[in-house]
Amino acid sequence: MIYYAGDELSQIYLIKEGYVKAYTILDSGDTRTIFLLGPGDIFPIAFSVTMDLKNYKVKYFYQSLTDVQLQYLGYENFKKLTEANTENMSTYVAYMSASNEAIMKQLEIMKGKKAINKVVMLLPYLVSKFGERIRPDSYRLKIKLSHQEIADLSGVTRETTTTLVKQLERRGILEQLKGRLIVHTKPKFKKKK
Amino acid sequence: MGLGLAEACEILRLHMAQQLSAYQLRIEKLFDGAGLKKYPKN
Repeated sequence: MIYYAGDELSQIYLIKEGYVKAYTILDSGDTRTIFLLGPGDIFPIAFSVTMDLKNYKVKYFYQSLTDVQLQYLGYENFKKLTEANTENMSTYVAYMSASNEAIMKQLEIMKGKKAINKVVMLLPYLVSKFGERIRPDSYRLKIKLSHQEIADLSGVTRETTTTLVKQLERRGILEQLKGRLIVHTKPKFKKKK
Repeated sequence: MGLGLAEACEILRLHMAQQLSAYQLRIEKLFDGAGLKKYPKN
């Protein structure tokens, strides 16, 4: 675990390698994935509006999904650097804009009407963020995702997600290999069962 | 959905790659000289 929700902010991390999951714990004790982070992402302050980092409390749990390599800066140092000149601030703003766009994309997916569309619309996002091309029209995700995580990211219940994943497997769009999803963007066959 | 799955994947993949390359070097510069930590898979 890299950060616990409620922790005081000590360091700002830049992901060099690997993937990190941000999640929350519901009153029921269940966990819900909020977003997934990869190389080039900064955490945990992407959502600090005031930049009052001294009093900032970490909002989510941050857990490594793979082996990760992180660069870190103390929060005071990070604040000084970003406020030191317009170039650094514009870098931070550029990152915030990209981060905002990714969140909007996720919201767009969750606002889909049909559950199947939500899950299908999530696939390009997963491919763009975690996919490695293994064939011209096939991408393997670099991380393992549970049905609950897919459900959290698409706004569908876990039970429905399981049904839909099976449906997409039958249509040849999804394949699971050693727990990792393969997305076939141009499925050529339909499995019988 | 408008676009087919293949087109949607390719467009978003290229867009994310372009976006990342647009700020990654600048972000790395900001973290130039920062410490390095490794965490194993949780």
